[in-house]
Amino acid sequence: MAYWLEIDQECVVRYFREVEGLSRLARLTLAASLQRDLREHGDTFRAIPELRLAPGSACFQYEIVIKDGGRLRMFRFIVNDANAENGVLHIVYVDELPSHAPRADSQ
Amino acid sequence: MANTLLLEVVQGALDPLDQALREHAKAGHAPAVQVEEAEQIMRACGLIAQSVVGLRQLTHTISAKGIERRQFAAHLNSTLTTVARAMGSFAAARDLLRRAVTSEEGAADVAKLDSFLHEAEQFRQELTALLVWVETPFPPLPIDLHAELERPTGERSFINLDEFRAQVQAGDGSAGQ
Repeated sequence: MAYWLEIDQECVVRYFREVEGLSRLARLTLAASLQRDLREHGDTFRAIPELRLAPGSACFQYEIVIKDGGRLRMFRFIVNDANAENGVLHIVYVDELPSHAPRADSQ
Repeated sequence: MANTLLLEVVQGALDPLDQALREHAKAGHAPAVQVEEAEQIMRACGLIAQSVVGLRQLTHTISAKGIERRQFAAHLNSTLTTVARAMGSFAAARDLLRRAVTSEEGAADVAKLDSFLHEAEQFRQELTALLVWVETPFPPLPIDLHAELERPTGERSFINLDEFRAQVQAGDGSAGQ
């Protein structure tokens, strides 16, 4: 089932407006990844119990690795699927792994 | 998936190579290696080395396109296993040729195998560091935030993904370039 993806303005959109050092291309890559994985294959992620914040939680996490300017970055999106039966997934939170990513530009 | 194909290529080249090397190991410490056989071993190692380079490029390509963390970890793990096996084969081939082929050509082959090993070792170290990073868990969410995220979404304001993408495309207020 394909889902309609809704993104929280206050938290997620604002985060991407304010996060530093993330290129426009990386933002577009993130959007494409959300489309590919969550919009088109959301059921796969929804069905994995380990991705739930807690047993029975309405939220699951989706973690994505992207390379931007030779540096790897990892983002965690929290998706609330309480309205999944209506075909909607709400992306309600995002953060980034606060560790230094190894550089992947050795070629 | 492209990495499955590449891994199969490496596997396909490693199996007969390892078999041939094992036969030589059984033959004792002064094995005879025909010129054709040495060439065959070098061809197999060359193909494996090329595939290892391909796996390295693929690792960069898939991260540039964005990949879900667990899928990336699986890719790194299977690639790491393959690279480690390839390194074992390169080392065994090098030791065999070093002992069995004394010609100038043999020395060149040994040098080439040393270079394959060096490249593979660099990639292995890169993979190991990446894997450690990819497997680092995010810190748990604060309990109050967790509770907030579980609440019905009706009171919040959302935009759809296409609108978000259009905003990014237009460079709307983003801090990045």
